[in-house]
Amino acid sequence: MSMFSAFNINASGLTAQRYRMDVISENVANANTTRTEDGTPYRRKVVTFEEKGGQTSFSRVLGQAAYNHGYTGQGVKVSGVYEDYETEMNMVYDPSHPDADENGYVTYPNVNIITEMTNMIDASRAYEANSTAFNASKSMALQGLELNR
Amino acid sequence: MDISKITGLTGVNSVSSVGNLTGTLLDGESRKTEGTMFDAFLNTAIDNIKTTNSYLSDAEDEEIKFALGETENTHDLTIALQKASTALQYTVAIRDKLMEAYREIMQIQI
Repeated sequence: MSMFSAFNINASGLTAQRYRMDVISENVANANTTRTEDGTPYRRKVVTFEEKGGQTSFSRVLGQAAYNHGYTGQGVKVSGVYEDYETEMNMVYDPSHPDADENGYVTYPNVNIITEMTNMIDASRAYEANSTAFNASKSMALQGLELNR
Repeated sequence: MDISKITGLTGVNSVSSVGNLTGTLLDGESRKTEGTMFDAFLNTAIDNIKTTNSYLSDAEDEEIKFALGETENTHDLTIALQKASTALQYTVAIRDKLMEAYREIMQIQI
């Protein structure tokens, strides 16, 4: 762990939230998409995060074993993007639509704009929180210099 | 800046305020046992400058990436710059202290 471990952890949080925002934007943009590459209507996508703790490099593992560090977190990472099969698709009666089935119903994506907006606010606030934490880490690092005076 | 320094307060390690200085300081001392103390400190400072330089070149890489539009995250550049700036401030502080110590030594009356 370097002296910038806090910076790196905050950076991972910022990246994760930015990625989540990307997926939410994708959901909002495709809220009315009835045809995707495989011909089916668009499905809402969900991002899952997991803790980043993979001790990959040899020196890192050795360092952890040698100094018996209690805990060394490395931030967060996106574990995957999954399609939402739980929420029902939106069925709208519109026989004139090219993608309507034999009964005249069009399957619209299971995207709920209100849910997406809520998640978007959450993502942007979480990004803000990470950036505040970053600033706090930086001012703490610089506060160490004040000991010098 | 490790947790071990909080749990196991071990002399010089915990006093040193710069995280990556600690490692190089001990290394420098073990390598230069026959050398003088000031020599060891000087070597540490030089190692520190190398680390800072790598942070500065990282920041420069990010700047180039940003200018070329290859950057994925808007915060990557900012974070690289902040790291470089913090590291540089620490290095400058250490250089100042080192020069002060050198001046002190040179002013000793014989």
